Amino acid sequence: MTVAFRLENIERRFGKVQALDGLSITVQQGEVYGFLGRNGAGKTTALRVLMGIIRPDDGLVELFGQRVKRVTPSLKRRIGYVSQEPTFYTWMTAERLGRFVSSFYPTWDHQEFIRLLEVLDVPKDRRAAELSGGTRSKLGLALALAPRPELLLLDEPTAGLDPVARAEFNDQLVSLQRERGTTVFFSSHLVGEVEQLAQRVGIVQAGKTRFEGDVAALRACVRRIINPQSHSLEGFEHLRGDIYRADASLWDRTAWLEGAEMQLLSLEDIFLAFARTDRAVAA
Amino acid sequence: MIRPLVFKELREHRWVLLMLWIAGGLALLGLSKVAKDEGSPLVAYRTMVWVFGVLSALILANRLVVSEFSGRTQLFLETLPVSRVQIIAVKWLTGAVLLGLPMAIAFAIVLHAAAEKSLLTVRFIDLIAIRSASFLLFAYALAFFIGLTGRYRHVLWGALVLTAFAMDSLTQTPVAQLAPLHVGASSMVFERFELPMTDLVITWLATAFLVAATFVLSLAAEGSLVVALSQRMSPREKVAVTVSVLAVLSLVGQMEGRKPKPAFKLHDAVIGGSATAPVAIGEADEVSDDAAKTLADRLSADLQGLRTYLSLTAIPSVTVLPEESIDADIFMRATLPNSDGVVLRAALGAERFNEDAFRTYSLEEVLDWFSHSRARQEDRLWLLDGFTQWWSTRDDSARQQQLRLRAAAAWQVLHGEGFTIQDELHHWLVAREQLGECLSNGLAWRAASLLTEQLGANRYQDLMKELFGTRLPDDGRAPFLEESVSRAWSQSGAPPLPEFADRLQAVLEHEQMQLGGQLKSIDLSHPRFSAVSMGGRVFEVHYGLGQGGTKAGAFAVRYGAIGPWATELDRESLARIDANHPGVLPNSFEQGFRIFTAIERRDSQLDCTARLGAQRWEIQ
Repeated sequence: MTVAFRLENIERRFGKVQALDGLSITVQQGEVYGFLGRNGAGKTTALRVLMGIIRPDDGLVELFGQRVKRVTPSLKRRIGYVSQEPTFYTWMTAERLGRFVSSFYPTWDHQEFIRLLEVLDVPKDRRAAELSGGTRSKLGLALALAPRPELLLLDEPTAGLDPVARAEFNDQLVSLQRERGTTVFFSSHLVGEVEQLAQRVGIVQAGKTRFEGDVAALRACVRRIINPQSHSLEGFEHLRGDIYRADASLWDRTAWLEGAEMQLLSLEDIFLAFARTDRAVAA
Repeated sequence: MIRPLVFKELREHRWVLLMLWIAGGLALLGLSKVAKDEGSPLVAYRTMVWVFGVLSALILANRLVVSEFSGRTQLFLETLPVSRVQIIAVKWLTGAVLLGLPMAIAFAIVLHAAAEKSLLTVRFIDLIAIRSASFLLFAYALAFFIGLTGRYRHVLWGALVLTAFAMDSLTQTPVAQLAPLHVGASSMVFERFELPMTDLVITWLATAFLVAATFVLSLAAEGSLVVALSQRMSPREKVAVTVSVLAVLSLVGQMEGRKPKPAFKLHDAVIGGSATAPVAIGEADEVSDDAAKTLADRLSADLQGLRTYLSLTAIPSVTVLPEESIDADIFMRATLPNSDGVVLRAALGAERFNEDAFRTYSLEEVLDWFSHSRARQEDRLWLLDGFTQWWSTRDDSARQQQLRLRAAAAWQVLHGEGFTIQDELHHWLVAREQLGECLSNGLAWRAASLLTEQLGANRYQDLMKELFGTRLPDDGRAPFLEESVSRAWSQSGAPPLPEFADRLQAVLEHEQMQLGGQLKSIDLSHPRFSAVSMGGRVFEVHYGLGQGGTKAGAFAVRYGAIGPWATELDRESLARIDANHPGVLPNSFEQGFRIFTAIERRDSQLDCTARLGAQRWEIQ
């Protein structure tokens, strides 16, 4: 599989705040990657680095197989981006916005844009100011998909949407991705959403990657140990309370004394264990 | 990349542009008509540059920059495959073209109109075009840069205006004569041969600097600085900015106020008195040099005496301008916006000019100057009037006797109106309005001389020093540093004011009886005024003296409108009619009109013009 993009040891500071502190992510082409983290963990900053809106202080950015120092307009044309709170020109209708954006993309498919508006149920003749938050997000998705990008970056696109609108948005996203095979990298703090959509997941905390891998591997390596008694827990990383992390093979190799018990956890519990631990451990 | 951005700007701001251009067209039409009387039709173009051009630069910069960043739509632009440099460059150039195009059209129209009346050479047209374009580009570059500072843009504009004002006012730097303002000066449309190269180069450099600063600011910290600046001010920032602005304004005001002004100097004048208290009397045919010198010496001696008595730390240069067009008993002080000193005007050569009264008036004006006008506050004005009358007549029993007669006459007028002395001392401005200067000065003198008797000479002097001998700063600190009248009064050992007023009233009643014979021969008839309808809402005002008599001797009617905020009426603002029998004012008045009316009469025994009564009333 070829790599869609790679971030390696990315550092970014805003004044006294270390937003990204050695973040590393690798996303393969064609996969749906969920980027999970609490508010303020560094998700938006990572996406803005990928879009070239901000530059990292240090680290390596690789896009479509080439190492880049600056995300040039030609690279940007291969990326679709939906921001957390899309800010459009309020006086433009959805269709006019499409025409405006189309001028920047040689690959823009206006018929496809109109089709997407219909599929996503976005009224094309209504001004952006008159659209609800959910419809604006869908319009953002249509604008991002119409140029047929190779990589789709979504920054918490469903934040602020009601559950029905969120489900609708995600359904559309899944079917479009299946249709086209576009690489999708989306950030979220909603575990259920990531579990539903993502093939692979990355957990970020305080600007660092705490885990990266597929969902099944994540569930296999983090477990709760009930009554560990006098077992030596060498090789196990303590996350929080009685929750530990270790390679799946180590869990299987370890001979547990009678009375000790291991529990598999939900993705939500695992995320909470990562999010609430205050130990900085390399993933 | 550029075309969609340009079209976006044009479409987004089309209505504002349309309105602006229509307004510009109308302005050009109006200005062209006015310019016909100003020497050249090209004056209209110069006014267009200053009014429409500068206004357009401000509006365009505001629309192109401020609305984009404050609406956060630049975040949307940044996600598109276009660089920040391109976005800013397109905005800047679009604005410059949108500013330049209508100005070029206006220039062409004005040139076409001027071609019939003026000789338009290519060089002349080039000079105007270069100067106006340079000036407008500078204005636009400045507006664009300041627009990027977001929430601080109003503060920066204010600071610029304040700096220009401070430079002009405090350092006497002629800001309008400096580049870049001078490039767009009125000479722009008259100079046919030379370009002001130094000014132009400065303007171009300033424009280049502003353009560079615009790009630096908009690209700094990946555009996040401009985004941060575009956010609204926090309450803390608002307070800080407000306090800073007030502090700077106050500071500039203080510096302006403290800036030493040169003493007023009159070239053709007779100088008298000593070097420490010089007095200049303006030369006039009606006043001989000897008389002028004598008056100057006496005024100077008065000033030095007053300085010693009140321990004044400074006295002003005093200049007297003879003015024969004003009444002999009217004395006036000129306002001096740009110089220091006391300049007085009086009919020095008039037959009835009263030198003693003028000298007393001069002392009061000197104390007004010394106290930065605080001595004239109503709570201490009767003390000031009384002190200057008392001090200037302290060794002159004849004038004292005359003042005693005036005080008794004043009391007779007031008593007839039902006033008490305590009321009058509390509301001295009302008393002065009722009695006029002559009688109110008499009453003030009587109060001051009684106070002297009550306190003794030393304590009276201490009280006067306390109230009028301390020079306070001419700024906001003065009210806090100033000695209050009631405190100084009680500390001096004077009886409580109501008790003092009762004693004064008793003295006045006693002297009224003593001087009864003299008073009877003075006609202090009460003035009568009434409004008589002329039909509908229009009235005429009838006046007269006493009860019903038709012959009253010579008198003067003074009247004037009372504005909604009028407090103390200016004597010069009152109209005057000389009469010797009842009559009607020459004006007609609408119902509800508020009017002040008074009758004054010259009396030989009082040796002044006495006001026999006055009233403020509403026509109905």
